[in-house]
Amino acid sequence: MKSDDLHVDINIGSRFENIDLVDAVAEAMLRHAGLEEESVERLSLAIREAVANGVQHGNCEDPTKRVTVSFVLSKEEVRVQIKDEGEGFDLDSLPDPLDPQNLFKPRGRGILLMNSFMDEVEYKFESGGGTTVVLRKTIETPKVEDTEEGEA
Amino acid sequence: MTMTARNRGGVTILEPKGKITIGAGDIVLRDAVDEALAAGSSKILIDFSKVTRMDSSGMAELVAAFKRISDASGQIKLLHLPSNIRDVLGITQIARVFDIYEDEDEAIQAFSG
Repeated sequence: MKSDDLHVDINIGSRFENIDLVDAVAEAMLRHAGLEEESVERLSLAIREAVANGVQHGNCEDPTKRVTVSFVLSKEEVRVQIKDEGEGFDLDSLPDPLDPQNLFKPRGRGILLMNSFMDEVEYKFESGGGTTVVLRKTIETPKVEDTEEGEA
Repeated sequence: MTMTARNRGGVTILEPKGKITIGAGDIVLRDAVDEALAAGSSKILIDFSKVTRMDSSGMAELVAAFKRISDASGQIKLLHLPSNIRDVLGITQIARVFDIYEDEDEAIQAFSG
């Protein structure tokens, strides 16, 4: 991590209402990076989905179990690591939400949105328990600071 | 998220305001649809103009509502989808299931029966 990178860690109990707190921080950081509003919307939704998975499926909504979210924002990329204390899951067991026969199944869309909105989604399953999801997105068009017209 | 409901021409128009997300807005949506069905409404229009965000739990609730209403021989349509909601409903292909309108009069007239 470079010295001018922005790094924020959040540690929440596994309650649904705490997801909104992470969401608010994610939106604020992405706007701070100068991303377009559409990108802010997409990336923060991907982050929300990963955190919600940790709270709901990883930690089974047990408020004594924690979800740790680490944001690292540089000029080049957004990198977010989400870690829960759950027992992990089998990615292949999730239904493909784009298969018409799975339309009414509730699961699988969060991961679809993460994969759609991020450049990389990586899962790490710890042997002693705990799942870490790492989301990464290259910042392609950082906002250029406005300058006075005619300024030298 | 808050929900208001009104009736126009035999159609129940649900107007959610805020986020339809896990643990809050998704439950409000479920309860509002159940309440409308219990009251005998078979034509339900959801106006999304004041919805700021919908996550995968909200989407799951929306397709569940579609199924419950269809199973009750009813109809559900969507109105005024903001671009971010249209975006995620398109990616997940949920948009293909619903009739989506930009004009309330047109949506009301499209309900049959």
